[in-house]
Amino acid sequence: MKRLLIIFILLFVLAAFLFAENPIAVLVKVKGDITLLRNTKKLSVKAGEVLYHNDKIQSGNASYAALKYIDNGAYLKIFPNTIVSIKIDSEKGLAQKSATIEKGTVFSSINNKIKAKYKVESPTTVASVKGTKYISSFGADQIFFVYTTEGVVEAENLKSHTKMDVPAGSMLQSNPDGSMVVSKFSQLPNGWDEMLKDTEGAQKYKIELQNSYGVKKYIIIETE
Amino acid sequence: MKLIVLVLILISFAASGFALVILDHQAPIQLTPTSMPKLELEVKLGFTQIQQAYIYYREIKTEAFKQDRLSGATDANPIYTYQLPALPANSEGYEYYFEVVRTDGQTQTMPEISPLRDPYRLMQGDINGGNMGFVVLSPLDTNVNSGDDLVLAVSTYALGDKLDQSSIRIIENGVDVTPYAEITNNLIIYRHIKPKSGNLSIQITGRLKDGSEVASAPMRYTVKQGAKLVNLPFNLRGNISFNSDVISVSAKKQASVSGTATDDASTNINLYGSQGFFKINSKLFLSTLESDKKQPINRYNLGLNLPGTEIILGDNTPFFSSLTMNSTNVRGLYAKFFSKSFAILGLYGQSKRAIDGNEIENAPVMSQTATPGTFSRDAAGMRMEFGSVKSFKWSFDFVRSRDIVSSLKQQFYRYQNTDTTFAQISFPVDNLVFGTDMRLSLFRQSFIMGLEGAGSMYNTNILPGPISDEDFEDYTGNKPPAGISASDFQDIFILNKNLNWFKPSLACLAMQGYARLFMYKNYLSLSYSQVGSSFQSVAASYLQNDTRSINVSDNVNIKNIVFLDGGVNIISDNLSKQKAATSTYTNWYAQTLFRMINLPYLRIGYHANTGKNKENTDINSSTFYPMNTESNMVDVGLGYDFVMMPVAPTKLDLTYNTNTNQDKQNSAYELNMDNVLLTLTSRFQQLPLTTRISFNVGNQDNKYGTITKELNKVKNSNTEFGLHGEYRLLYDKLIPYADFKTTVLGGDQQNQSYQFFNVGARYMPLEQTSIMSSLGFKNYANSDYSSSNYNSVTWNLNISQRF
Repeated sequence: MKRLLIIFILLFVLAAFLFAENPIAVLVKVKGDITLLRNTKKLSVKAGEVLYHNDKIQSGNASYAALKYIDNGAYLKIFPNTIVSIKIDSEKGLAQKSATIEKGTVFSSINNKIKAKYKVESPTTVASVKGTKYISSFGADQIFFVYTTEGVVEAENLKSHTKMDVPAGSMLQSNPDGSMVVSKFSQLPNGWDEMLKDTEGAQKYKIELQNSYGVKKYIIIETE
Repeated sequence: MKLIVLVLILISFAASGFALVILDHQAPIQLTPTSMPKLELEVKLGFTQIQQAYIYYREIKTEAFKQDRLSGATDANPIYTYQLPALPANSEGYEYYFEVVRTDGQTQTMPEISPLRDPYRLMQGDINGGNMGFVVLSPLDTNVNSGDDLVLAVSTYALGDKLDQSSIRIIENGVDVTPYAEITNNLIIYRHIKPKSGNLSIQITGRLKDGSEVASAPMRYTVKQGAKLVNLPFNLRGNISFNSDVISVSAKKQASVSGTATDDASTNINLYGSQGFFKINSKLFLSTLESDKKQPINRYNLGLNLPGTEIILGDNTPFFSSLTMNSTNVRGLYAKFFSKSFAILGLYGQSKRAIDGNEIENAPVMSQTATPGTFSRDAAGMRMEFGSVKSFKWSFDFVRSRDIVSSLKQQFYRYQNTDTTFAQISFPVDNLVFGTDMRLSLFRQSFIMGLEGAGSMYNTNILPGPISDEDFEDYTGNKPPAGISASDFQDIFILNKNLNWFKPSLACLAMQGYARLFMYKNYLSLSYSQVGSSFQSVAASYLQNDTRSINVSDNVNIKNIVFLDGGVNIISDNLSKQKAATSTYTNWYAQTLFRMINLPYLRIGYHANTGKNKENTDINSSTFYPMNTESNMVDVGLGYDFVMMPVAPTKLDLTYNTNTNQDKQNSAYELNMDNVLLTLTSRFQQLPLTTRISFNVGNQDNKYGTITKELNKVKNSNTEFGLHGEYRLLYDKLIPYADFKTTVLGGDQQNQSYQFFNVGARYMPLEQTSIMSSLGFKNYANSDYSSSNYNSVTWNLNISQRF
């Protein structure tokens, strides 16, 4: 058993080492003041910057950035005044991607065609999914929010280890005391709708059709 | 078929005493963006009889052939090479043919028969893996503003370790931009800094470690003019190259050193510039072989492009239609004004320069003092196109070519006989061709069909000028129409007794119909053409009077594993029924290639050629000689890449062909030839070394003479052994190489041997700079006739710079 454990740890370290050597994501959009924090160095970046394991991205006022993971499994949009670090761990040959929010807000769009897990973490909460779109936000008050726009997000409070599903159209508030609340939302707060306007996979167009009996039907066109 | 045709050419040229040039071209079976093959045109015989060599090529589905110069051949290594431009991502392939201009002014093409209607075809192959391995991460939008950078990020994560990173190529609008990309493990980043407005097509290709090729789907982006008006700098790119050959020959007086090898140097500059919608391009080719005793070799032009306008000043090879104007260089002004559904093209210039004949020294007075010269020839043309090449297009054109009498001194076109009469030795001509052509394209140009027709008026001698009214009356028995005289039209056309008038009859017309179907990697091509006996178009090449031609060919690619290629070409003459016999030549061929990754490939080809004639009983002639000739060739090739070999994975190619040529009617000759070629190409793993060993054995068994055929048996043989090695240094920036080839001719012919030894190096100090130099030694020895022995040394230097 001990040997197995050692082998497992070695493999884990090796996998982490391998990903540390290889790029794990690329910045596909950079607007405004975006800084890359890598090995205690602060680097200015532009679109096309290659990101590595544990790279940290910091956005300033009225600034944002977007990145894509190397396996095209997740798209992450980093809202203004956010600090987030990214990493990939190999598990069963799949790239398990994660983003850790130190502060701020990110939008995640998960490609469900890629068989791998994705999660957004904060010191208090983990929100993991397989194919969905949602906004995660973590503030100085240590409260973690999840707004799910599509699919279902599974959130776990790391203090109480309570797990809750957050379906589309719902928001979750995960508090530092371990409590979690799920409720419906009708509109995204803080002007996040505007932030999502030029975001991949986030644009939907609804066309209303009405027949001669007054029955309304909708065509929803979603752009990729 | 090629060998048969070569033999036929050999026989016919030997009989006619013309300069003898034998060409050979092995067409690659297919191309992919990762492996654009270098086309090779080998001069088997008569290299020094070649003044210039050209390639004409076009993308499949397009109309006009582009002309480019072939280079790289030397006396010691007479192989012209040409690298086709990278195939645009959405293109199906190329069609091409070669043309060589001999020192006697004549041209030869490869393929020899109907090069315009049945050119070589090089099809885009399927690429294994499709685009599954390349995932585009950025940009997110296909529209890019011209003020922003286009950042292309492509993940190769899905391919993992299987991808050979060094094989990755990024092709943008046909240009290899790999050096500008950042290629890391699993990720390719390519930045196009502030692209100009227009369309961009980018494709990424690569090779897996198992040898199979992969490519991304073409990524297409539209660069739109940004909201801000930015003064962009003038964008200029191009290339400049210099080439020289210095030849030294050491020969005995009696030696026949194949031709007249001379030193030469040339420089070639191509410039492309743009600013916004304004584009400019310029070409300059200068050669020391240029001489006023020959048609021009130098080429220079300046092209301007504005929206809806294209103007070229200088040398140009316009393509109007295959019946009116093609493959003819015109030095002058070319202009095209076009919109989506209408275009008008105009052209004026010189298509031939005047060349004096040769003065005959000590010629008796009042007798011939010179050999004929060549008149300069003016060409003018206009073409109107209605519709779009992508749907339906109907065009009308006319081309006039006229020799300029004043361009030549009188002594070079006529001389005075002793009886005070004049004898004409060179004949200036006037030619007017008018044509129309229609082209219908359906299913995104997967199906194209077209019809072309043209008529002509041809004056075989305009020296007497326009016919006078009196002569007109004497000649026709009628007075000219009131107030109209032939001299009124002399600026348009010279009307006199030497004129072949256009009459609405098949004899005065040339016609062509064609259909091409491209579907599911199957390219089917059908064409029919006939050229009347009185039709003449001096600006259109490759038209043979009084013949009809039928071409059917089909290329099929089945999942990149099976390639089938077959066709038939039937040419018959005597449409006018004015000759004693009607000859029909039928060529047909079928070849197939089986190729699977990591397994041996097999190629089998069969080519047949028959020539028969039939007496024309309408003409009572005693000059009918029955003809019945037949040629057959079987070609078998086998190859395998031994990638498992530990030190140097080696590719083996073995080819065998057998060829019979027979005069079945008169038993005048019977030629049988066999040839075996073995090639081994090794790629060393521990050393950056590639070697190639080739061994070729051929036997010819000739029987000739109608009665004493058995006595006139000639058995010849040739053995050839070649070695090639190249060593890649400094990350492939410096590649020294060496070639050795020895050829021994034996049997009943004179015992002769050729040895070639070439050493050289290619050095690419910068990504855009290339310097090549080679030293070639050639030795010819004839053990039966040692006085004809000779040696030659050729030094070649080539420097090119792209910018």
